[in-house]
Amino acid sequence: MQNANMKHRVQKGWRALLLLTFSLCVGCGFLSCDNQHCDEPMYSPIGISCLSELNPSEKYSLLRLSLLPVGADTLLTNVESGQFYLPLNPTSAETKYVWCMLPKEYETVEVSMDTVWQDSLISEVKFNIEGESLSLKKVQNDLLLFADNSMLYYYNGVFAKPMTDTLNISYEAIHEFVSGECGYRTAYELKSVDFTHGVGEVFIESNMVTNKYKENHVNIYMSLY
Amino acid sequence: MSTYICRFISLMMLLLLSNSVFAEKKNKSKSAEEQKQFFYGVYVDYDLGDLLMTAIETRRFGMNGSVVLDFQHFIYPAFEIGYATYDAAPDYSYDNTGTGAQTEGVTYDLKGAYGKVGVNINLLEKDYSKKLTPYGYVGVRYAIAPNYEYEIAGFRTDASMWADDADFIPAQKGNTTAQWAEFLAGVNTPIYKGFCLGAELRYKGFLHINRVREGNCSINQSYAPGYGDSEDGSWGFRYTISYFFH
Repeated sequence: MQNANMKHRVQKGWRALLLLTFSLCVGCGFLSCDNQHCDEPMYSPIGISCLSELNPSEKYSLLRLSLLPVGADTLLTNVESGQFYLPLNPTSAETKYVWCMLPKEYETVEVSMDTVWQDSLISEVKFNIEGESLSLKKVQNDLLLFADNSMLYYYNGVFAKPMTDTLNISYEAIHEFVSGECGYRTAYELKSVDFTHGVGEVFIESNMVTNKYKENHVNIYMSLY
Repeated sequence: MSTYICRFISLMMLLLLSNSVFAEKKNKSKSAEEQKQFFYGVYVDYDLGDLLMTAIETRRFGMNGSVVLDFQHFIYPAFEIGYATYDAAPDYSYDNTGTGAQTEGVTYDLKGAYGKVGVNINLLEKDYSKKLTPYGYVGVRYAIAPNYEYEIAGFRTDASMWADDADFIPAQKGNTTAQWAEFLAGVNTPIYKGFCLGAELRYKGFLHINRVREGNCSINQSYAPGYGDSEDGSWGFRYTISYFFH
């Protein structure tokens, strides 16, 4: 009888020990699985498609298109394909982009170098454009941006005058708290999208700009430029 | 993926362990069957896992306990209550300032009570002659963390392109409610007199969290007391010490 009791106690002890060991292993496993990375897509760009006014189902590709966000020191190039995604300013109710495109029938410009030399060294790179001497501010791909914010394309071996307009995007920014790991993501409810000079006709297809991958929000119907 | 495989294997091991360690002989005596009672007693337990986590992670504090009723060594209705606080700010790892440096001075604090109600089903062979027996079970819980408090501050918008305009999002403080469900598998065994040790794995998923909209901010919590951080996955564990009253 005493032996049976002893055996029973030993069995119980083993059970408890096994359970304790296993539980600690499981617990440590879970602690090591603590995620401290943000795995959510946090970028909410506005998707824009350029379509032909004559054939709205057809993507409209441009010879050259560059976009300059107003108030930022950035230049977005290589967006000629007719479909692109633009960041919006989350701290403002409006984002403006200078729309700079090269029309199919472009006007060429005579440009000559007007570089300033000082003691055999280049002091300042300047261009003489239509009798005006301008300092070069930035060159990106084929686009030359001058100090007075005027622009020229260097296309097919000639300097060409771009067609410019301003794309105005108005919205309400909504800051969504995603998680402790990611913080806030900003979504945008579009109010209006238009051009100052009407380079194209704008139609809002979807007014909620979220982090959905490759979602299109705005169609721009281009005339034949 | 390896994490999930690891968790799946852990769950399988737990079930195997419960069978190999606690499986009883099938030749039950007839007299034991006759001794079958409708109600055997009540387990009152305390979660040592919460205590362990609190000791390891200083930014969290949690405690919870439950009352489990034993009906015919088969059905075990369970009621849990708990309280948790969590400083989730160190979790923040997304660089939204565009500077390559993590935003400093971030606050994300949560605290609140929660309750769970559900039932366990004993899958092991029953010994009706004993009031207190080991049991291995699967179960389900409905859980609610009502009106828990949160405070979020110091986060910035991603306005790196418009560097001068980068701005702080206004601090948010308020209350919200979360509801979730849990599926669980576990074991519980007597160790000394009425005292028992138990371990269980839980798979959980949110049913609903009240989204709070304040001004141009929309707050959707990823954390709830009793649930933890949803970003850390859907699995949880409990490791309990309990006393059996009969």
